[in-house]
Amino acid sequence: MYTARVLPKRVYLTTILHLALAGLLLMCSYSLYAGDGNDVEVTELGGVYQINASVVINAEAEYVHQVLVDFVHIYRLNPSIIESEVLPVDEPGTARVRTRVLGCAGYFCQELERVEKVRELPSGDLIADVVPEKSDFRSGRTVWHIDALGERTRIVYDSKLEPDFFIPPVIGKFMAKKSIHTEITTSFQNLEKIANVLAERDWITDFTLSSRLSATHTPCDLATR
Amino acid sequence: MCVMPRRVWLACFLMVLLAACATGRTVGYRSDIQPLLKQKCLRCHTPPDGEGYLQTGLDMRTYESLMQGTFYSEVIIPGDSRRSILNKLVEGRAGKDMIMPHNSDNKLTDAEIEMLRLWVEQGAEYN
Repeated sequence: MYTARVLPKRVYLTTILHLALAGLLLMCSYSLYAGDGNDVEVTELGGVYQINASVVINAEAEYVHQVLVDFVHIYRLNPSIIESEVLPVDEPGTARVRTRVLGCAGYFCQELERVEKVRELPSGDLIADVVPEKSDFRSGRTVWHIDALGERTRIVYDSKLEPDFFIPPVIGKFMAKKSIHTEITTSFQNLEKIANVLAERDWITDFTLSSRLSATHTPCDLATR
Repeated sequence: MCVMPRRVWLACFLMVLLAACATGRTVGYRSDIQPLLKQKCLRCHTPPDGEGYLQTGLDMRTYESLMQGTFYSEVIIPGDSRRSILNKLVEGRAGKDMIMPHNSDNKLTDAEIEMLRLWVEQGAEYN
């Protein structure tokens, strides 16, 4: 027969205190900062998750925009986009994009289906509206606002998502917010990297073309072109 | 102390044995993956002028260059085939137009796709 070992009350209290402190640290660590003074905030109210981010990335706005509308390669933005597809459009000037995202909260992972209708406003802002009947979300809207800052770009990202699946209260919601924060931060980091690769490749193409031109034409030829 | 009957021990041993068998064979990079990549992918993913290499920077000639990935990111996340770009593309999870290889004469069979998946799930080792 096993006999339970009784721990002194002091040991129990210390353990509970340590766990509470660890929890508090964990809760503080995910909120607010993605680094370099950039804000990424995830909140939840009445089952609606709101993501607000204002991030400056080291890439030119032209290339950032190019990456964001390259829906065919959207899977490059985040490894958690495990499926993606550009669907036929039913309205001119819009795109319909299907993604399946592997969302993990702690050890629990769930695949989330989402179809969004994306359009670009004359201002250059991108708006993506969730199509609820084809998604695991009751509603959702994401707005990308892109501001050129010379060789850098400020992105203001506002998103509201209402999941159509059960998320356990307290711990579940906390883990979901933490997971969204991590994924958004990863997406911004990848966006910066991809935009810079595109810029570099453009530069190499321009350089190669101009080298070819200068090799086949004399400076006088070029001056008269 | 609680002593477990011999029958319980035997049952546990058999369960562990069955679980080990169920995981299947180990996929080897040198024996399985490299020959497959050579046959189906190298035509385009070889520097300096393979079309796939020029477009993405993915050089599939060696294990090291494969693990290095494209200009944009790694294509393999060891142990995680669901998130690995290589698996997404060969399985057609990034849309029909993106299925790799693009050349329809060179399509991977279901068994080859599964082999790639297993290799990545098993850690994508140089074995």
